[in-house]
Amino acid sequence: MINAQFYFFGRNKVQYEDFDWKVIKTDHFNIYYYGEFEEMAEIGAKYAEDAYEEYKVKFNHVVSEQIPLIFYNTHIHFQQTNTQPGFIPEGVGGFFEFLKGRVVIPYMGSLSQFKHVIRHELVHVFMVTKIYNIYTTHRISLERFPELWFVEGLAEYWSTTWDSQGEMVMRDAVLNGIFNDLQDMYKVYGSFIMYKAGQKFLEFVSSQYGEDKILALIDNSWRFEKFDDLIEFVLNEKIEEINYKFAYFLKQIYFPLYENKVPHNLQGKKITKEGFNFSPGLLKDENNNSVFFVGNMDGYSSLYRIGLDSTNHPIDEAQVVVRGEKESVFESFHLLKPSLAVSNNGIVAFVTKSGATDALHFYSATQDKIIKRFQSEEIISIEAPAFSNDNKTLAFTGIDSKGYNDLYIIKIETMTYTRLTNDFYSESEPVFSRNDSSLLFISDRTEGLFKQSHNLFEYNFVNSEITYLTYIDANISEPTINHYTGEIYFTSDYDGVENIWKLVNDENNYPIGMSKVTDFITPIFEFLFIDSNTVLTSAIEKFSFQFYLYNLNESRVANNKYTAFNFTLASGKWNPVKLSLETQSDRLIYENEYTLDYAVSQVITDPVFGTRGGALLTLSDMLGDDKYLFLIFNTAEVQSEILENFNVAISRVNSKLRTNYGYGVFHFSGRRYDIRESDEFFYERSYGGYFSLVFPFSQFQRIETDISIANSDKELFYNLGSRKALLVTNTISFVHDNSIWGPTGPLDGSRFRLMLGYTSDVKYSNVNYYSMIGDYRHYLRLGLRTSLAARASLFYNHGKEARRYFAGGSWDLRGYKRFSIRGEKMWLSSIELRYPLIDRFIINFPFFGLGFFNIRGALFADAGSAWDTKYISTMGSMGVGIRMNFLNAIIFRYDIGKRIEDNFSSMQNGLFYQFFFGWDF
Amino acid sequence: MKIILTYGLLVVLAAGCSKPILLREIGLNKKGVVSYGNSLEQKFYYDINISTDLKFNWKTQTQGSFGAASLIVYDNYIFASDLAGRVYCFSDSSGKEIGELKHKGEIAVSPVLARDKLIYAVNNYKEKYSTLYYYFFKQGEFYKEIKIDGNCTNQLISTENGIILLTQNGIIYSFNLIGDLEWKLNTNSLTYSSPLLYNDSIFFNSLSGDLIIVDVKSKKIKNQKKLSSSFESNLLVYGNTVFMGDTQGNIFSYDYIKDKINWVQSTGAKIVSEPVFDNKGFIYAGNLSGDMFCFEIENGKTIWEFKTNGVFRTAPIVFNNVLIQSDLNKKLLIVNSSTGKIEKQIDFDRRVKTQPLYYKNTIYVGVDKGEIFSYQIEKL
Repeated sequence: MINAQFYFFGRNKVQYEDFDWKVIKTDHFNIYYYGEFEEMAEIGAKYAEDAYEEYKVKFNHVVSEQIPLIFYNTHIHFQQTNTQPGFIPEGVGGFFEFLKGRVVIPYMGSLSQFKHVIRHELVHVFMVTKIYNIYTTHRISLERFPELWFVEGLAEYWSTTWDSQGEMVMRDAVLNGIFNDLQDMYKVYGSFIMYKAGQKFLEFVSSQYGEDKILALIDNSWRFEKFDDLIEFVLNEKIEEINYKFAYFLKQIYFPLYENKVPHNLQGKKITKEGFNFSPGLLKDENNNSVFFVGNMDGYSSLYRIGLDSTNHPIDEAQVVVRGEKESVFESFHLLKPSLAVSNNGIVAFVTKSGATDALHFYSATQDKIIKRFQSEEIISIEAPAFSNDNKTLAFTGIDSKGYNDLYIIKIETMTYTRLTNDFYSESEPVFSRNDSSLLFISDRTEGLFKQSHNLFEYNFVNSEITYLTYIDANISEPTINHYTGEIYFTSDYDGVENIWKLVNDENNYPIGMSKVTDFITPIFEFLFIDSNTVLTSAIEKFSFQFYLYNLNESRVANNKYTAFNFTLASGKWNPVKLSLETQSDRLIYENEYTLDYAVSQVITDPVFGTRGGALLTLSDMLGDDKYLFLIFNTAEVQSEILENFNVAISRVNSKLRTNYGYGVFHFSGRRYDIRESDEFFYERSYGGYFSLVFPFSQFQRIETDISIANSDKELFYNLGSRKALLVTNTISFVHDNSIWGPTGPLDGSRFRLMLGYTSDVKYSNVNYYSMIGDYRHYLRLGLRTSLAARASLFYNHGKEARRYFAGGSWDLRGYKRFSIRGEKMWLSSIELRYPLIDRFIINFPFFGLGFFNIRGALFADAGSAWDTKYISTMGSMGVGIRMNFLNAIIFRYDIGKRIEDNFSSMQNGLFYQFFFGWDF
Repeated sequence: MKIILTYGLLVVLAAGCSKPILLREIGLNKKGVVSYGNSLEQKFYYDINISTDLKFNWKTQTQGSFGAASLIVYDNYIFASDLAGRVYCFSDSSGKEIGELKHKGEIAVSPVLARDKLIYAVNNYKEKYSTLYYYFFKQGEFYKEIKIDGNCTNQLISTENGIILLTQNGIIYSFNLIGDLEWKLNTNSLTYSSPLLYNDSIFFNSLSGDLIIVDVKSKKIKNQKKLSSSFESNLLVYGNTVFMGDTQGNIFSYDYIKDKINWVQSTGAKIVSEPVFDNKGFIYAGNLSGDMFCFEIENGKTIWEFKTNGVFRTAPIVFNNVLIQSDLNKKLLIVNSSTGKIEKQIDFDRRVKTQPLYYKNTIYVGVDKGEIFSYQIEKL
């Protein structure tokens, strides 16, 4: 978060928690955890040690250093990690970070998922260390690495078995022609599909060429620079031939599905068109029904509503009811988790992250406002709300600080909650039975032969007993009661992907089996009954999740599939195995362990200034909370100046707590080419220290304060004058940023900074001025990818030897020479229409191809001025521009236009052409 | 200042230039371990008792690191090949480098010393072929370079009249001492197995789980038997019996004359090295999970086993009283061959890569980053 101070705007990574980190030392791992997570950490330690034993054989390799494994008890806490500086999106389930070799993993409420992620990340650890070892022992440059799809595909292939999620994305990708063979990997680069496509390719290699070829791809990676050459060599076939075979392999698997399964868009009626739509809830009304849902159609995840007519046709486009990701109370919606319920009396309960934990919001559809909110410090993460039939109670699942994922109910009137389960089993998706006497829910507490499968259970409110309703070797989800008939429905991946099944009872109303109701090619993510025969489903299509209406009477299921349950197999009780720690000395309180992050140094020699050198290095602790930065270089031109020309800066930045702080000392000396007086340079020696505090109110707003004391001695060479000063500077700023970005800059939201400051020479009174900056930018979305951006800024310094501001160039006043407009006071305004121009532009030459992506257009007008004491003139410009995002690292900008000159009274003769780089304002 | 810089630069350049291996004075009838296993059957058993105290002699360094091959030794010289494409010659008394040969690629297997020639195979960088080199170490000249299709990661067999090479693609090449191809046979079997020559037959196993026996006289496969789902290990022949481990961790004792599996024992994890037998009727085998087993040769009965947290990817060298095992997990283990108890272990800072080499009361072992260690032992 303290990093934010180095940026003008930017969102904040808020450290809501003060984690009391502890360490477990095992044979191969240092496991970092905090609070009450010890039991889960020990289970995770066992998973990790077991995986290590497996992977050392698979990779024929040992990792020779202790592996740091950092556990967070929820995804919400994981998002606060300082082990990497960026924001962690909802979908990230863990990562392996190369700098310190750290594996960072959140617990997401399920032991099987926890195990999978630990194994996945440890495959990365083994692969990276093995490849590093291969390259160094072969004396090969470390710059290259196998393709990302191979890296992630292998991590999946060796960490888990093929599952319904993989089947879901591959069916969607292959049958819709999005992914056909290896050549299509670029289309899915970085996505979850890439992981699964990579896994599928390795499954193909193993089955067609032999399992040994997987390791051979790593063992021979030193040999070729191009990954295709490596594949050709290891598989001993031309890449084209391998591609043909892989495409055939995929078609053989997926094309036969068309024989007796249907796509959603053929049998269902699609009622949403774009984006990602989840967690539908039906609000019944005498006139028209409405569907509330959580979705993301424009970059912000939000609560939406779509009205249906009497025939259940959508009346209009989906409307935003509650906009998420713009204010702290609705910081983010959890799209991929069930997070919404609608009561019979018009209350919509939905979950968002809200500060340090999740919150349940109760929105009244009739009053069009939030009427209640539930949030508890003890329940960090909340999922799957469900109203009782009498609307008095709401059930949900929550994860506490131990990592336990359990059932809870809230009395809505009093907002008091009761915990129903308290163990390490993973509960999910509760629904009230028809008479509210029990709660149906999904759990991995399945015992016996089908241990840890997700089955349907019933919690009896009278005696608190839990009983099985299903017992199968597959996963069940989405329990739903058809209130018109009283029948229990759910989805199951029993035969590949999730389709709707119905619970079959005997004459005593005792469950005996399940029968299949739908047979879609791709899974049903969620569903609810609109009426006795119509369901609304959320299903994947071409990487997006849309809603469909579907009549169960038109269902086409081959062979009336039925599966019987054998509850006698459900014997015993499973308990996760923990790593046994021999001595208490293996459990330690974490103390900062500082290691080097990076270090660079350089010695240069040039004919004018001679030989100079410098170095920059940073240290940080294992958890990334505390950083030290060291900068040293020398600008001496003759030997006698060496000591006084040492430039040194030492800083410490601490971001462990919500209030981040930084402090440091510096000594800088040498020639200065002050940009405001371009013809002059002077010698300046300054030394002193600074202290900064940053407090984030939320992800979107923060306050910053800085104080610095610096002794500054200037010597002007030509005037032979000098100036001494002991400068004390105080600043305070308020920063807001809730913008979302497109490929070249912000597209929606707003950003502003208000800063007040005062600089004074407390010793000689040579300098004395105050400062004010107000900079506001607003982005108005006109379409999904088109936006009108506006900016208004005032920069004001006033007093003795006040510093000048500067402008001009591609970033603000276009058409003027870069930084050519200077003054102690300055105002700027811009308005710009940003629109998509070319999404993809590929030139294929006989031997290679060149691709350009995300090319955007701009239509702009700028105005502004800068002055010291007397306002001079207003300048401006207008024109068009083109921007291109190059590798997500740099934006190339090219503008053509006309300056508005002579105090805004005439246009420039001819045109200006300006090329530079940088993000849009 | 300029003079100092100039001399400094020259010293750095000179240090960076390697001198070739040139052994003008060396006799041609000296003793040594001149190829992997030093015999056609590749035995790693020595009929002596040794002390368990290993006294450090010296340490030297190469540029790259090692595969699972062993070093070789001839007269007073140690030869090592590394994964950065170099072959080195060191003095066995001091570890001082005598010379080196440099190639762009990897040398994954032990070189062979045949009379006045050093023969070795390089897996070429950026190419899909390998190159077999014949080098006259008395003259310091290369004599022949032969391109070989595919990867050479299986150990070379040194015969009286030349060498036998088996590529990963399953092609057997027989070259004479002047580098002429005498015969070639494509067995159409992918293999990670180092072949051995026994009673005029070449034995190796394949990735598809076959044992393959090639008759050298007729240059034809005389026996091919499917025994497992996959082999990636070297093997051992003892009389009429072949011993080898598969990727599932099973050790097979197979009578290739009677076409009969004598016994199979599971070790629980993939095996890539060959078992080693002694003259007491036992064989010793380790797996990638760091487990070591001792079985009775006749019936496969487990005599002892021990588990470590390491990785055994090379065979041990076996003496009457102890066996010495390289552990990838930065250790060299000295194990009592009667009880399986670890008598002593030497810890290293890096992964131990090569099989230990025993010669003239000295143990040589190569570890990561190309370090070679020499230890003195005493015969008891």
